[in-house]
Amino acid sequence: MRAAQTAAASASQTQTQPRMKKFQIYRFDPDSPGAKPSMQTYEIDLNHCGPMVLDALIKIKTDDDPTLTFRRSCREGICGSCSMNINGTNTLACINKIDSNTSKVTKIYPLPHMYVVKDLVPDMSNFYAQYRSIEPFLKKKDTGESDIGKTQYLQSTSDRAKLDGLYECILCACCSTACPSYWWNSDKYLGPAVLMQAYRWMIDSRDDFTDERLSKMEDKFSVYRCHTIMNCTKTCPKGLNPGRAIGEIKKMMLDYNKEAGAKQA
Amino acid sequence: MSASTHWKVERVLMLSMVPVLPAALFIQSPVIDHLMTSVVFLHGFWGMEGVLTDYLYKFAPWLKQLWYTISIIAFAGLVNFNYNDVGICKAVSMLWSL
Repeated sequence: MRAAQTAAASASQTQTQPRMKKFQIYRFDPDSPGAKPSMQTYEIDLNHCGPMVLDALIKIKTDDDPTLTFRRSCREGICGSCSMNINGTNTLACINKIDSNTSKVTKIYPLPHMYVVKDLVPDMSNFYAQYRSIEPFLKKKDTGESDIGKTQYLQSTSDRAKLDGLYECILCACCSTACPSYWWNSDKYLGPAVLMQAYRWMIDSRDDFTDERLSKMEDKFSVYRCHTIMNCTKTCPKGLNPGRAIGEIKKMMLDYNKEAGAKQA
Repeated sequence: MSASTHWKVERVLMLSMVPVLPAALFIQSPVIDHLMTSVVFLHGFWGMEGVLTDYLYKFAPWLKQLWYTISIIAFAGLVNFNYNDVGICKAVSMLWSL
């Protein structure tokens, strides 16, 4: 039925040349035992497709192959679900334009060096566990459960401005999975996305646990596996700068109250 | 030594190489010889240690002992060369005059 509709639609506009574009997509099906990952090529007409790679993926899933699996939600680069490796760059499929050169094949892989659940869906458990480990929430001293909600924690305009460029992170993991250090040591190295959030809470003027947060980074791996490769900053689809944030953490680590940090950490 | 102190020491060492290396071009003395060997040795030692930490120690922890042994022998050799031979700066300039 749908095929008949599509045929009728394309017959009405026979004047326009079809712009057939090939997409090579990584496929892996965990349900068939012993299955190996493989690349599958799909061809779609760009005249009947939205401008972004996510539009192409959705078109392939609806028209050609309902088994194609990928994460997506907001389709406007604010949820961070559709992060994947498109033509060799980690980015969000929803804000990445399809290369209009139809002679070139667009290659789509899941985020590199992650365990693949299915097709373009990577296992994010480790990434989220690392995010949890930095305690990404406001922590106050001398404040009990009963004090919560009684007063506002005010912040000066300049203190608030320090959080710009940090709070916008949507945790899509494009940066972390672009980092060679994270590829080799993701078990112990926190990775750019998580470190940038750690920095975000370290410099928050309302947070009382800066020294403790810093002292948690006192090992060879958490921060110091960063070698300033800067893939993170280059790939960030939101235009943020995790590389700079890690540099700032290293600078803060030079001079902080180690005793106070170690006491309650 | 805590990780942050180590990082600080490494940065200081790196910056100290900026005056030491050109100085070795102009002044040839045992002091500069020993300074050169220590600074260059430590820089290389920690650099290589970083590479091993990144890629190998987690698969072969015994490499740490091996690397430390090699390094100690190498450093002892360099110090010995400075005391009992022409010294590192002279040796390099001799190499270039070949």
